[in-house]
Amino acid sequence: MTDVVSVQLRGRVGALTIDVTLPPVTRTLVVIGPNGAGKSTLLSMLLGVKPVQAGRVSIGAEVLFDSTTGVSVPVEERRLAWVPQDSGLIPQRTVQQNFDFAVRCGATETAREQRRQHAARVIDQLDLGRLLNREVTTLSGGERQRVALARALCIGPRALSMDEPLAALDVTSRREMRTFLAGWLEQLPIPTLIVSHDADDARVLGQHLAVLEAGRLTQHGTWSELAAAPASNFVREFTSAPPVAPR
Amino acid sequence: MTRWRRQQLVLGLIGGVLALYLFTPLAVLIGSTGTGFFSGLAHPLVWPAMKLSLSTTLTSLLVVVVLGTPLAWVVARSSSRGARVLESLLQLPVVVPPAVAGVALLLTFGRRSLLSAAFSPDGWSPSFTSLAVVMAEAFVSAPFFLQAAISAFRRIDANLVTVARTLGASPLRVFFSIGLPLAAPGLVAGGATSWARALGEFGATLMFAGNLEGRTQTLPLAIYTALETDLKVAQSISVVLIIAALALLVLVRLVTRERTP
Repeated sequence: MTDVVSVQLRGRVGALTIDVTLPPVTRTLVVIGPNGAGKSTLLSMLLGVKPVQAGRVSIGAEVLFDSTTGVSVPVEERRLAWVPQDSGLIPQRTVQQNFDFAVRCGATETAREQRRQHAARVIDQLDLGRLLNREVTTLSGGERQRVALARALCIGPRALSMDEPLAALDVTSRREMRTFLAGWLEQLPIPTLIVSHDADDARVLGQHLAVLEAGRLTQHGTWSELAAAPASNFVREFTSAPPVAPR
Repeated sequence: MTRWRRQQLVLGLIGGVLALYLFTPLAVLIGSTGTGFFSGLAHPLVWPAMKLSLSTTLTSLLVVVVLGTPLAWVVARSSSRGARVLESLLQLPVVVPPAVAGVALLLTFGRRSLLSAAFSPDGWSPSFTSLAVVMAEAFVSAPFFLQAAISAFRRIDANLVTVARTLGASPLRVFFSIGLPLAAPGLVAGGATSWARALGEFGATLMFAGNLEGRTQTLPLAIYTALETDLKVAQSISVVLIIAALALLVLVRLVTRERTP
């Protein structure tokens, strides 16, 4: 049984006001929405890097942010793993050096030792051993995303968030990575939040979808629930797009 | 010849006038110095000035890099309006005439300044010492380093920093493990440009440090002195400075070329 992530956030970034209460995230929730709807901004606010005016973020019993009590755990201590669209790996460094970096970021020697063990396990599980000495810039898009995912997991996170994890990939590796990711996420014992604007990705990756439009949640549910009763034109078009790639 | 080529040629010829104007004096200087270069360098004025130029510019470079790198990092990472204003103000010493900078330094740190009165009752001040030379050089050359460093830091993907923070990285670790290594080529290029500016510094040094042989007389000031007595010596020193400038220019090209894949 995984912890439940509950997210309720309100804040302004530029001209966009975000005001969202997400459905409780237990396994994988995919946040979909048109470009500029505030999907990535919502993730940044959740991580604690963008200012939040009001709301509450908790994982299980642990409160990460609560505007009424003034609680705000700093980004560095939230233990929310985040994988950005372009992987966020340190370029001109090897894969090994990127893992070493994540290990060194552990606050205590115990934490660093734990991270070392997490890293070793996840490198093994994702079959990344053969890539360890490769420089990040020489990796393919799919390899880069796997390494980024593995590196994010070695902090032993409470939850995982990914921003358009497949958007930077070409068609072939995208399909491959999508299938891999769907299988992988099913076994992952932590709640996962994925942001995507792609119908195929959303359909394959998330049992549960939440629709964000102009900073607000307009609908949530399973793919078939959304398709059966679309609450907006965006949802109608999104769910009626024929699948390009079979699962 | 097509119309396209013809008009390109006209534009090229107009622009060529400026290029010719920029290169000719340097070529004449180098050409007319010729073999007199080495005999000119033997003049007693040259060696102390060369030593002083080297030691003061290296010191000012060190100060500018050590203090300027964190400043550039903070300015580059901040999105506040204050940081934007600060960034613009930091370029002031580039547009302020060096002589004005010299007067400003003299008024602030000179013998009759408030600072001097407060910290040194016996009237000591850095003016007209080698320290004044370093201060003048740092003042005029720092903006060149800062500008290059800020833009190098700004080219680093903001996501890299955010990811590092989610991994638990402290600001210092982000600075040392991501900021410095990824901006290194830009920092080296900025250091070289700023060093070149310090080597050529004349106006502020003359005002604030004077032209004292062996103490404040750097190479550009030695040229000034030599012009009155022995033109050949002035030429030789000039050629030395041209060579140093060329070397630094090549260095800048090399490190910045490495950046683009």
